Amino acid sequence: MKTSYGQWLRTAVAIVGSLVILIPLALVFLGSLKNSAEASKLDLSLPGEWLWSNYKTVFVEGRLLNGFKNSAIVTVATVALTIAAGSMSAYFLSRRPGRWVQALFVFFFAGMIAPPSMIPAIKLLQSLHLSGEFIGLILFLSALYLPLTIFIMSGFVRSLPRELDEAATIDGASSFYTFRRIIFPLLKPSIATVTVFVALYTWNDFSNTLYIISDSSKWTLPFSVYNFVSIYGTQWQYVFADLLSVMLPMLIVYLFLQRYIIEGMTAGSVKG
Amino acid sequence: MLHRKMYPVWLIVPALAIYVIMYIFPTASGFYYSLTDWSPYKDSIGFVGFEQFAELFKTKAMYTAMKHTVIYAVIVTILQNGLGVLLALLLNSKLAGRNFFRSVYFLPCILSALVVGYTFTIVLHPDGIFNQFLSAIGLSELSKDWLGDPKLALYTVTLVNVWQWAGSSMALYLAGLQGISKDMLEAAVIDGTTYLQRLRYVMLPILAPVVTISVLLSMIGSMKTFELIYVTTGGGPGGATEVMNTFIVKQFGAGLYAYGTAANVVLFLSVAIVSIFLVKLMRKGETAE
Repeated sequence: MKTSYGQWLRTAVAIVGSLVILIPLALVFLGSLKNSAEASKLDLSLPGEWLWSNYKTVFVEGRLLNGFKNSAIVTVATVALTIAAGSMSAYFLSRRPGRWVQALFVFFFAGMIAPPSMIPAIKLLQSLHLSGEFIGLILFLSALYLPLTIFIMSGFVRSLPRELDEAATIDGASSFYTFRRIIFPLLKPSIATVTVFVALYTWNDFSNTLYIISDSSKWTLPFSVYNFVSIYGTQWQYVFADLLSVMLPMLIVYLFLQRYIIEGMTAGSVKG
Repeated sequence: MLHRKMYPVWLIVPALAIYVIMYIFPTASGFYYSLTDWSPYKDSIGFVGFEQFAELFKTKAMYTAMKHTVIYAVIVTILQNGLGVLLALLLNSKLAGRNFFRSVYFLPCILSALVVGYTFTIVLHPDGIFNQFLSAIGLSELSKDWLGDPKLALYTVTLVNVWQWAGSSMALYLAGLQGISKDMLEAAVIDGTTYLQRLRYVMLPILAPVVTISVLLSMIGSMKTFELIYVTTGGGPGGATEVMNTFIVKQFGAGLYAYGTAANVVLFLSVAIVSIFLVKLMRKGETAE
């Protein structure tokens, strides 16, 4: 096939577009390895001496390990809870006949649009003694992501033949057994989709965590930057190193699972 | 009634309990609190009717925040979807390294808004690389304090938002374009249509439902915007980038709980009305095609 001018032009446009995305990230990477004087120029030059020790400083001062651990706890628990509760109700809502079941489905749907009311939510969490606790944050985030989860999973349950449940019931399986052993394993593709978007939103969450978690030892990874900038605002090399450290876990996951992540996020928003 | 046995109600109980307690209850009680004089400095909460709303609609800052929210949401929605369609069309054509470009354009969507915000305060710093680039190509008179100039800051933040999320619209449109059958496009080519005709009469009608979803998502998302603005400008300079959510947070910070909750109710209703209106409007557009 002959390469046409059009194709060259398109490639050139695509490359320029990629540079717009990649240059800010390159700036952060290069800046994170410079000394204080070089980093304050805020330019794209290579560092005179590659100071990997900046990362050591940030790792300790930014309490990255603690933030990483907290993020991991909140993310894993939120994903597990939304998938467990969401898949059960998706199965129920798309199988059980009745007008009230349809009404419940619409009721869940409302949660996808409107913003939550934060201060009343915190008052509630306080009266339940869950404010400032991981469990409060996990429950709150699960409530936010459950509607989309149920929506995606219901669409998937409907594509599974009803005869499966009927056959299992006739063979004497209990309703929980049918769900747990027959339906749940078949939901794998939708579980992957839900895992991707719930994990991403939870990992990157800032505003809800800011409201609910006040104790800085319980702050998640993104808060390391928030904290760091206010303390080391002009020590740019540390700010750069901290930014990159916070990005790094996501970038590594993206490097290996980009196909699933793009598909998951796209499916997540198409269904929504 | 076999259904009752096969699909017992307890299946829905955990999800319903979490959703009702953690989302519906705070939202509903928010409606109630917006009608009270709730504040952290008072022992009791008294019912005051629509006083908070009356107060709110007298505040100029609220209208400014609302205006900024609308400007922000409209610009982001148009640019993000326009750019999304163009990138999707670009990557749907014959192009070497398509998968690489797709991954790069999508990459910012996986980053936290906090990280993106701080990165861009550095990129757009008066001495940052964006102004350095402008002077390098001889346009130094165009260099500005992008986030510090009250006339520009709001528009600058919309562009940062588009930088982060255009890839998400692109992925949506690309999935839609890849669903168009090759036979249909080939038939159109044989019929002697130009690329623009195929775009107008074959691709766009099939993409219409995707446009509805993507526009709705970016509109809702940007009306609720908070983190990016909080990190880059904090609503400043001088309230030039104050949107509803930063306005609300400030009221809470000042201890005006009932007042802030009333502002949240206003935002809630605006988002709901805009969503319903957009869905209706775009459904009409889809069937008209």
